[in-house]
Amino acid sequence: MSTAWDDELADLRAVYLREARGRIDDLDRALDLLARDGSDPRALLELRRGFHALTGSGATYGMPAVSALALEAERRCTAVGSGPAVASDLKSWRETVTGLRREFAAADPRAAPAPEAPARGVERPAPSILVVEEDAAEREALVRALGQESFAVRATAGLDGAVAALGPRLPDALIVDAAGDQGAAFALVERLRAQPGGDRPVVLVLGRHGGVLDRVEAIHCGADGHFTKPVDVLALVRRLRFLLDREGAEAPRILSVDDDPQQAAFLRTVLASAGYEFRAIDDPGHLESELAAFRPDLVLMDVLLPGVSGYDLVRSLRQDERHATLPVIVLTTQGELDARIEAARAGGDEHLVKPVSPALLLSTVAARVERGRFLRLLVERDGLTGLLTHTTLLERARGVVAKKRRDPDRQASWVMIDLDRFKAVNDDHGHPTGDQVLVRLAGLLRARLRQADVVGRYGGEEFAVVLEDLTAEEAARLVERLRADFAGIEHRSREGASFRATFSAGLASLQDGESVSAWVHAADRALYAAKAGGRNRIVTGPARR
Amino acid sequence: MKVLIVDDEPDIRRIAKLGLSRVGGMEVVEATNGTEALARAREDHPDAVLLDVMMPVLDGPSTLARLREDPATAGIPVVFLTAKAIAAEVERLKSLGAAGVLTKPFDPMTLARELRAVLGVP
Repeated sequence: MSTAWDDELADLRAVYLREARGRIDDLDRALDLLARDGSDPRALLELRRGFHALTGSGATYGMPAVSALALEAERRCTAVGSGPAVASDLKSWRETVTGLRREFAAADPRAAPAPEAPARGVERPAPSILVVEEDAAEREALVRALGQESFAVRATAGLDGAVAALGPRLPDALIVDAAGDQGAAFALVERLRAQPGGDRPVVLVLGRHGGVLDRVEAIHCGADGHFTKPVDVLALVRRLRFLLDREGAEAPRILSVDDDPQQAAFLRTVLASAGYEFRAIDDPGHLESELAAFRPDLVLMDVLLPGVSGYDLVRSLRQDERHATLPVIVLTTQGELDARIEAARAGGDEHLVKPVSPALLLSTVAARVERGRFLRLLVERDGLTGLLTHTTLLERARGVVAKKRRDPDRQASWVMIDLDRFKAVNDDHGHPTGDQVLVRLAGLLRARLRQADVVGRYGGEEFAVVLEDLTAEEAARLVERLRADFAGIEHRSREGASFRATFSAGLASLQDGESVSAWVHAADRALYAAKAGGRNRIVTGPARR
Repeated sequence: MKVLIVDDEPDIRRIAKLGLSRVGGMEVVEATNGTEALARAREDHPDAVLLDVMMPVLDGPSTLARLREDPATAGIPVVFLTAKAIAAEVERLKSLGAAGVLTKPFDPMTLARELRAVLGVP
């Protein structure tokens, strides 16, 4: 829901963004002047004023990154004083200006779509992984397993080599063996974290002991996770993928149920400025439909609601197994023990007392969202391929059908993909090799489709993809490219035999008023036709009524 | 309650006004620099002044000093709005005779509440 000042705030923000370009240009001009004369007093003053203004206004307008960038630059201005500014100062300021420009461009709704949604069909660069493992056999096993997941893997034996291998372009992830010299391994992690941009890579530490203290120590020195040897590779890949996806993932969605417009506006301001997608409803009766349409990562529930208690609402939500892992934070005005007990008993994960400080709200929400997303990944994803499970896939498909009902112009295609003669692959090369083929296909689908696309493992060797916002022809072209590329991949069995595999696909576009089962059935029939037509091909089903 | 907002940055004036008037229900008058603030304070009799520290022409501390010199404005409580949130700076500003110090960036939704708290008014 929206309040008058919400709209006004949005208007003011639009004005602020519009004017930002001029401010940045002013900063650039001042820097140009300083490049000629590092002591130009007007330019120095202009620069300091410009950064100072952005420090104060950025986060006020919901862009904390702007404030943070500008503050650092402003501090440098203070340190430089009346000059002269030297080359390193100018370089640092230029970088800040570039960063500011990027922040403003990203916040501008009229700007090009955000870069996190690459076009479908275009392969994203594979995440690069550096493995530091002393034991040659374990190193090779890890490299092989990660390579199958379409990661770009480099490996080195010693920690000395690792420091060199870190190089100026940091990897997306570092997996380091701490079973030998633990101190040196942790020092490497700390060294990575201290580099510019070193907070970004995912770091996993492999240890010989799985004691709590080892884990704690690993995490304390900056690792994102700790695995005990012998490593459960599937679990490691699952964690790795979750951590890597976190960055490119969609903004977490927060749903607030609150009938107080001022409280809702406060929550919106705090959460939206931290990058969350926020939606508020004031009528508890809309909860069910909002859960389905908005698919929140977390619910903020006020307890005093018109006609119903927030606690009862949490209880009813928990009875639905689809929402079993959904984090719920209960907001109350009274901080007594009773309220806390009641919140816990109803199934709330956390209990906050109003007025909530923005910092506490943000840290609580962030922690709950991350845990919730990981739990959901375990529940919703297939353990081998990391794709959606059958149940989750159908649940998502229901969401797509619901969208089509509201907006009949929407396009969506169901693509049913089935590996050809997969039984023969298993029979000839063994099940582990068969699993490898499944993982390769899953990796290809994941690399070529958008993160928001619905991609699942429908059954044993059957996969399903729901492509939204593409016409049936465009969807067929995309799948045809996937087919050709997959057919070109050379697989290798454990015994070293090389072979190729193919798939057939059936495609059906969603018709007006159609149910999920009818839609899936249509794709199934098309798949059957593709198989009957000789396999390794795609058939698009006819339009239906 | 009437508040005079003094800031040379139009962005800050706009959003502070939104926070104080639309969210906080206060009456707001504005000035874009220290000199203008002196005139507004004499004419509009605000209940409080929200004063930026770093401004061209007449900066915040000098404006405060001039407000104190004039009997017509000497009693108006002044709250500084500063982007320098370090403790020493806050103490320095308070020692000049300010009723309190609020920091930029601020949350427009809670600005009025914070101002009331600093001034000790309900």
